[in-house]
Amino acid sequence: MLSIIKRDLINVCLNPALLLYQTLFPLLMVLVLGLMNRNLYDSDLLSVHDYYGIGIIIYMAVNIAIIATNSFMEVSIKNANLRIGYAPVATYKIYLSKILATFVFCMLSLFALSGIFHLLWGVNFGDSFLLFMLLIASLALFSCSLGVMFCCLLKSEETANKILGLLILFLSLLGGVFFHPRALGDGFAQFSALSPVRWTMEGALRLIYDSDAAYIAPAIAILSVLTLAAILVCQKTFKLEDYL
Amino acid sequence: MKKVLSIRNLQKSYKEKKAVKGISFDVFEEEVLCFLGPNGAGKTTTINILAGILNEDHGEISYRGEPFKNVLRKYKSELGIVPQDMAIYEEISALNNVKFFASLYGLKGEALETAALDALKRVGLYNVRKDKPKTFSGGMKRRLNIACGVAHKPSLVIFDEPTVGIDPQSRNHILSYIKSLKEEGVTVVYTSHYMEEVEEISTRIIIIDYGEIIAIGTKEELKETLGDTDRYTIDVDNGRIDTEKFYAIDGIKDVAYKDGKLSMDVIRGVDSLDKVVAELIDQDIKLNSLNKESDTLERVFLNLTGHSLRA
Repeated sequence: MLSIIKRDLINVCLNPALLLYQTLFPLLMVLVLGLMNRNLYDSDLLSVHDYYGIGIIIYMAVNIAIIATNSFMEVSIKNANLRIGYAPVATYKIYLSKILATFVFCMLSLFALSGIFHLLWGVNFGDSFLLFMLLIASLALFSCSLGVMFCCLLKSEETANKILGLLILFLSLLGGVFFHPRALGDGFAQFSALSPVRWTMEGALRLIYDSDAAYIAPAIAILSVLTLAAILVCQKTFKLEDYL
Repeated sequence: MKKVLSIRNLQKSYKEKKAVKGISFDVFEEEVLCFLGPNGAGKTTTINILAGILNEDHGEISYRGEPFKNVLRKYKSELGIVPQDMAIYEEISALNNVKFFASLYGLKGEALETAALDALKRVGLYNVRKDKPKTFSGGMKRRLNIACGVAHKPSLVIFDEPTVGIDPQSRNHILSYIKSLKEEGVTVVYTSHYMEEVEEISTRIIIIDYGEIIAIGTKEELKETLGDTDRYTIDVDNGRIDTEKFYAIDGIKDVAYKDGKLSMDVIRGVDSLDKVVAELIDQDIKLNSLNKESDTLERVFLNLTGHSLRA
C-alpha cells in the first residue's frame, strides 16, 4: 500500500499543471482578491489578506477533489493504474491510495502556502496553528474522498470534474470563501450553514480571532463521518473494469 | 500436459451486444495458445476476464483445477499481463516503471532490482533504462509494456495484441522474446489479428469471430480443413466475367468474382494455370496480377468464417 501511495504522490508532483494549480494559483488568488477588496476588510484586527489567506487555504482544501479525480482516472495514467489491478493487490488499495496520496500532496502544499502567505502578507493564523491545520486536514481528506467517490460513481474523470467543479464553487460561495454569505441576504446566510466549507471557515475564524475552539471538534467529527461515507461508497461501487 | 486454465461456456455482454458467446477452451502448460480473430471478435474481452478485471456474465474458469476466483491472489501472483493499451507511467524512468510494477508482486531490494534489470535487458531496453517512456518510440513503449508485465517471472503470461502499430524491428524482438519464454516453459496466451505472427509462434490456435470460437487446433490441423486445394486470386480489370466457364477447366472449384478480384480453388497437383490464363484472354479480360495461395491461415480463416480476417 505504501509503495502505491508513494507512486501516486510522485505522479501528482510530476504533473506540472497540478503542481502550479496547487501553488501558484492560490498565491495569485490572494494577491488579486486582496487588491480588489482592500477597502472591504482592512482593519487592525482583520486585514483583507487575513480573510482571503484563510479563505483560499480552505478553498484549496476543497478544490483538491479535482486533483484526486485526476490522480485516480486521468487518461494518461489510467491504464498504468489499471495494471496495479492485474497484481495480487486488494482492489480497495487502488482508490484508497489515490485518496491518501492526494491528501498528503494537499497538506504539504497548504503548509507551504500558509508559510508563504504569512511571510508575504503577514496573514494571521492565530496561536493554534496545528489545530487550524487539523481542521483543514479534515476538510481536505473529505474532499479527496469526494473526488474519488465521484469517479467511482460516474466512471469518468471528465464528467466527475465537470460536476465537482460546479459543486466546489457552490460550496465555496456558501462557505464565504470569496465574500461573506450575508452579502447575498439572510436567507442565503442561513442556507450556507449546510456547507462543510462554511463550518470550516467559521471554525477557523473563531479559532484564530476569538481563540474559540468550540466549532473545531464537531466540524472535524462531521467531516470524518462524511469522509467515511464517501470511502464506503467507493468500496461499494469501484470495480477494476471502471478503468477499461 | 497439465491444464493451466479451463474455461467453460464463458459469456459476456455489453448492454445489448454479446461480446463473448459461450466459449470453452483449455490452456495447457508450456504451450503458446494464440487467439486469432479480427478487431471486435471478443479477444480482448476474453483476456480481460482471464486477467481478473472484468466479470463474466456466465461461465466457469478454473486455474489448475480450482475455480479461479477462489485462488485469485495465487492466480494473479503467477500471472503476467501485457495489455493492448500502454500501461506505463510516462513521467518516470523505464527502470522505475518496471520496479514499481514488479514490487506489487512482493519483490524487494536486490531481487527487485535484478528482476527489473533482467526484464529490461530481455526486451532490449537496458541501455535506455534511465530514460522516461515519453521519449520512447511506439515500439520501445510496447517493449517496456512487456517488461512491466513479466519482470516478476510469471508462469503464465497473457499478451493482448502486443505488436499493434509498431516497427518491424520491435515486432521481431517481441516475437523472439515470446519464443524464448516458450523455451523456458512459460505458458503463453497470445491474441493477434496478424496471421504471420500466429503462424510463427503458436503451439495451438483458436480462431474466434463475433464472440464465438470457430475452430481450435494446431496450425497443421487447421490447415487440414482446407482439404487438398490451393487458391488463385486474380486481379483483373473490372468487367463482365463468365465465371461458369472456369468450371470446365480440370481441377477448378468454387469460382467467385467481386470488385475486380477473381478467386478460385484448384485441386493441388493439377496444373491448370495456363488454362485459366487462356480463358481470361478468351473472355478479353485484362489480367493485372495473379497470386497462388497454398495452405495459409488467411485461407483457413476465410474458409471457416466466410470472410477475410482484415475485413
